[in-house]
Amino acid sequence: MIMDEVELIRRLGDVESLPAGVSERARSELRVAMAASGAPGSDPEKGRPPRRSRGRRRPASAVRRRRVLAGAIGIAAGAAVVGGGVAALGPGGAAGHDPAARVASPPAAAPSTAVPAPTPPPLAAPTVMYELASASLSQTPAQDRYVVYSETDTQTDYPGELKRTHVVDVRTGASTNYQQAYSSSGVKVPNSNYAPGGPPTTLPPHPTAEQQAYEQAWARAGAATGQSTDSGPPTEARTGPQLQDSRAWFDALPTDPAALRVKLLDLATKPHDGISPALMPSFTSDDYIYQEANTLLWNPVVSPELRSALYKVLAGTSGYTVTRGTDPAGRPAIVMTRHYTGITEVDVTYEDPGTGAVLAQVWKNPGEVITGVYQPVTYTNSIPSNPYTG
Amino acid sequence: MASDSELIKWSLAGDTAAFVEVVDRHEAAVWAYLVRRAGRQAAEDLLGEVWTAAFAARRTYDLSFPVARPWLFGVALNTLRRHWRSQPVGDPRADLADLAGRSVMSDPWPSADERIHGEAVLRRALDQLPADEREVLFLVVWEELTVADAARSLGIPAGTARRYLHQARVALRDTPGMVALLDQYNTVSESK
Repeated sequence: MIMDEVELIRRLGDVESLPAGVSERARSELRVAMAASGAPGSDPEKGRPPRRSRGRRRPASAVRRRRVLAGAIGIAAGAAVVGGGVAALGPGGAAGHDPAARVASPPAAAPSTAVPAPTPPPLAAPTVMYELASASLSQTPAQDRYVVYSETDTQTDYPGELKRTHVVDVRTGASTNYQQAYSSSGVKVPNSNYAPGGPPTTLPPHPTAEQQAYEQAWARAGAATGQSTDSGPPTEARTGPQLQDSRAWFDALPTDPAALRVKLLDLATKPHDGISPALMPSFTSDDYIYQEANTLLWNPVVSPELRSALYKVLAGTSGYTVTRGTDPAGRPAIVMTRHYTGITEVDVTYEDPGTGAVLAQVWKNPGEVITGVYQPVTYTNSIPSNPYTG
Repeated sequence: MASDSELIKWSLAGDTAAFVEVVDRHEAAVWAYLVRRAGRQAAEDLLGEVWTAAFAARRTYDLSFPVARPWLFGVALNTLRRHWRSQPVGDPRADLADLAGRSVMSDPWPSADERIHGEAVLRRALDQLPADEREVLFLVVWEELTVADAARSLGIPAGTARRYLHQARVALRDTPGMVALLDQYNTVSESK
């Protein structure tokens, strides 16, 4: 190359790279300054854009719904879908939805010291989590009443695959579920909440009195909050009962990451809606928080703000690895893998880097793999008919 | 990917981890910036000061700029100025630090000093540049900023920065001995 004065100067500017010790010392100074400023959560709303009047909520049992759905495949425990409340799959897979039983019999095969530390993340997890937080915010929430999402589930030892379509009424959280029996063998899933190829069974033909009261309360609350830029999450009194999977439930969750972190731990470890938490003796708080965040993230009723906040919370937790890859359907994905402390389950989720949506989830235990692959979500104002008939 | 401005906005909302992510992204660049201007020892002492100053000043960040690096260089420059001002009297660096003064001066850049060896010609030429012109030149050449970003870093209009850069390059080329120095490079060692 031809040397000019600029190139000459450039050569003078070569410096050795930043030593790790220097970096750490500088960061510790920063941490001290941050702590002195009382920054974490001290004034969480300052500088924030005004809250949207609608947009974040969700009920305790619905948090666990994802797992319960996965666990319900092929397992004669249909009532578990109604009961919900299971935050963790132990080594026994989806069996054992009784929290008390879980506490009484912690996983024997995996004492907490037996799980090796996760290998160092190939990608810087916080960086990727903030990417996903940003991608989530780029999404516009639909205003339609019904969220329609489909999934294809497979599980070790069961032939073929199971297709399900769920229609959730975001006002009430009530869902209409359709499913297609295992395609290769015609095995029907012994789950009374689902009617393979039949009419929906979970949504009554007419709203119950409770739902009607709730909808009216919700409509009033919506009208009220619609006039206010930041009136905070709706209170129980204003919204009436917050039903599972309703938008109101999700919107009641904080979107400040520090507050959300506390809330997630609370959801995971304290009784909610009369359901005892599935406490895992070996779990760390990060284990609970990751699991709770993960059981929320997949849900399409979660608002962009809440989804973004969940990723920010994950950015502040450790113990999982992040790579770029593809999901089981071959779609480009951020792959998050977590080994929980003291249990054998490995939890893998695949996130769409462009939207922050969860594309697929896989739970692995020795001899068992449960896979759920999600299709893009659609929104509608009327309940679609059963896609699996005829 | 979340922009720096988003992260700073989140940090203003109490999410300090978001600010740490900004540090992650730019610490290597800010470190190099400090070493080039103040030497390694001072850079080690000052890096943490830059982060705390940036954190304290993050409310002043113009959120319309997605990338924070030029702003961080501006914070680092202010930190350096404080540092130079605090040097003991008698230290020739002490009164040379006011870049805004545009005095002919030799800003301390000992790391370059050590490395420069036979390139006394270049060093002398840089020494004689007005401080603002030199800083624009360094931001563009070393920190690989655009002229507009260099201007943002120094808090001067972009047109002014462009003029400084032009003047600096002309001045360097016109420095006695510079042509001969470049010729020497271009004839003796053609390859890089």
